Amino acid sequence: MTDSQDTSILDGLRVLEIGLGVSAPYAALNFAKLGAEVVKLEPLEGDPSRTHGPFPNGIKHKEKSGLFLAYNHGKKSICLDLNISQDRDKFESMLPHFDLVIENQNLGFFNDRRLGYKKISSINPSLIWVSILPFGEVGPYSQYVADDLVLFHMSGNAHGMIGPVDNPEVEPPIRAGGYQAEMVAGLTASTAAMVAMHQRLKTGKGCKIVVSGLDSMITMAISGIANSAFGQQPTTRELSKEKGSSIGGMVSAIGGVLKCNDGYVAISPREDSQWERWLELMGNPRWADDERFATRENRQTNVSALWELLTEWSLPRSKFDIARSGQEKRIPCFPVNTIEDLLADEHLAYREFFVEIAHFDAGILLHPGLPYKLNNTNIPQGISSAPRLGSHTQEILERCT
Amino acid sequence: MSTVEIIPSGALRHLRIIDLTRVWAGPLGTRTLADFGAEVIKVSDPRMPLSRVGKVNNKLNRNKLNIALRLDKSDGRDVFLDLVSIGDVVIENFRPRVMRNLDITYENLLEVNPNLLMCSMPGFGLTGPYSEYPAFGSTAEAMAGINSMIGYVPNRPLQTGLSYADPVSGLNLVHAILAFVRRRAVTGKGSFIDLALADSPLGTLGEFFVANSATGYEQHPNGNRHSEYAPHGAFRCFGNDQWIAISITNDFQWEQLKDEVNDIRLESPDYDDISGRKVNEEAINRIVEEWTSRKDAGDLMKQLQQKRVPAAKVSNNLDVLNDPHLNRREYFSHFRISEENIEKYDGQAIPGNQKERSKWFPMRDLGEDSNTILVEYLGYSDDKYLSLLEQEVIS
Repeated sequence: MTDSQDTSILDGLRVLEIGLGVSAPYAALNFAKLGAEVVKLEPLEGDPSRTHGPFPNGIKHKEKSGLFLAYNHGKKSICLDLNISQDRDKFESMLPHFDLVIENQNLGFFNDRRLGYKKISSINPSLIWVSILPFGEVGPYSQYVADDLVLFHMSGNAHGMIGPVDNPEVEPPIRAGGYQAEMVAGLTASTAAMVAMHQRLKTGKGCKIVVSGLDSMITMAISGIANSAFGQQPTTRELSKEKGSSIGGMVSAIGGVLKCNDGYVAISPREDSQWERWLELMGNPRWADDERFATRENRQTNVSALWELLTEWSLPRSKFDIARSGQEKRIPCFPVNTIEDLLADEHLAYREFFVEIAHFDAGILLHPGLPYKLNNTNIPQGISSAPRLGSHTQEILERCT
Repeated sequence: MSTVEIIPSGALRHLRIIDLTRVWAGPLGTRTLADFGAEVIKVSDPRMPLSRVGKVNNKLNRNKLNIALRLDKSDGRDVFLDLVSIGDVVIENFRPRVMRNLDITYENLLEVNPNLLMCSMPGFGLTGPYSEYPAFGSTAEAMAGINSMIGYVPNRPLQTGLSYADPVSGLNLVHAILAFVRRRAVTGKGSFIDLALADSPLGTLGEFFVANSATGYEQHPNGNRHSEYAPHGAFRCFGNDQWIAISITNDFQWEQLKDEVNDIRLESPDYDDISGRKVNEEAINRIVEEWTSRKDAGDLMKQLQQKRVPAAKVSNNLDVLNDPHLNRREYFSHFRISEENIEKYDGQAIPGNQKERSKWFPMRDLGEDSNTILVEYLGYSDDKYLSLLEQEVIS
């Protein structure tokens, strides 16, 4: 390919992020990774995510927060106090120098400071302004407060998350790890901004877009909502009432996770032919011919007994060995990878997925790269580390005033 | 009042997408492009009807035209090349060898369309040791580290029924396509994008990679709990399988919650700060749940929200569908399937710049647009169309 050097996809695009925590910072990061210039406006005390861990050895330090460093690399930091009029003037003078603003302040934050969209657009009519709110600006819940946990559960994703359980009364719906609802809102916001950019290419005009975190999460749900829903009864969370062999936290004839001597392996020998090959892989144990496991239906009926026998076999073995032998026999399976496993994974290493960035205070850190490559080349090349609080204030203000 | 102009045919009305994707991630991505006015031509295999059972296909394939075409026949491949010559973007999510066997590569396609943008999105990307591995949602999410962080207890990871990697990849696809279309507008250059489905969710676990590479930190499943805050979880409410999610992350919220629960046992000075509440999480959870278990989840949500406490009734699919907030916001989309039957689907979470709702249309049948596309778009004669039909190249 001829343009492997030309990897700055959004070169020349200028993004101002006024973000707190996760969603807006993640949205802006999606632009930074593609080569846009991203300036992060922080209050004097910094983005609150600077106070959240994980921290090295559990010791708090505003330049060493794992959460902050992970979603703010490739950005510049400017500190302004939008509660005082001098800084608001500076903020207004910055606006003509940006194409896009992404923010997730509380509802009313900008109106209360006389920085409503009407004023903003009179200063820069081509500016695209993207707000992220948990429930949007309108509707009965618009004044409600929510965070990641609340949105995940409210969206139906937690209810459908792990499928049916033995006893729904003691095993509540649960959320995924990390801040997934915030991530989804952020990704939705950056996509909304990208759509607006295409509109602007045609009209030259900016716009204001308000992304709802709840709407964003509902669009993510498939099995939990769409499969059975849209007018039908909700999916059961009670295993004994589950008719089919759905995938879930519990095991089924379709597959599940097996305990090994070094963790777990996820296997899915669902078709009869795959099941045959799976038995071969186990060295055709004595129970292989058992009528109880002869068909997919029978395996579902006797799933508990089956899983006990499988676990007996897997327990002394390594999840990596089982996964490798399974894949050789074309059976879908993978180790249940931990973060450490992933950092050492041969496939991700081959594809150079992780990006190493040196940070002034926190040392050399590994970041997930973009999930795609351009013409077989990795895109984020030479991306800078997360900024120290306010370290570009002077530089940005000099440029804008 | 909306501050976004309604664009009659959407912000992406200039884009034509040739869509070979199937299952979920790809179709969700191309549906998003279609909702904003891109003309998406879904290329289906005439031997594989689109099931309307379970409604997942209906959900994912609205606003797309459908041509049924045998890519494995040489005449079919020729039709495909003609189609690519009038398109802007080709998107596919087969396993890598499928496209190689069909002899449909980016290099071939450039010959008929030199500015083409193409995206391949197999499970694990086009290169590397796992590239030919099958990517079922349930095992791919194990690979992607998702399972190792879901569960009630640290040492027992659970699978999800959500195939969570897919929708995240679908959105990443849209973001990438639009970035590269913009780049093409500036530089005139097409591009080839190799998007690995399993890589997308890894981008949402950044803090754990950063922390592990700094100090070996490892995150374990912790149910609904938070590593720093408590109470933080789903608490039982009155009724069968009814729950409320409550998240207390500062002292103000704690004081508000305490006022509502009104239980002397919560007055302990040990619970006055964040770290004290985390240490005593079990005891606090028991007291809070004693209280919530006597309450209706919906009423309790309103009560706590009035006091600015982040709380929500844990919704199932039907709750979501009937939710007053979502309905007031006109989040859902409605399609009249027959005289008496209107189906309700999820809407488009990305607001603004959409194709006008009155122009949205439900999933087209297999090959419903084959004639239009061949005759009107590609200028084939009726004879040629009929002959392709007869040879079962199209349907």
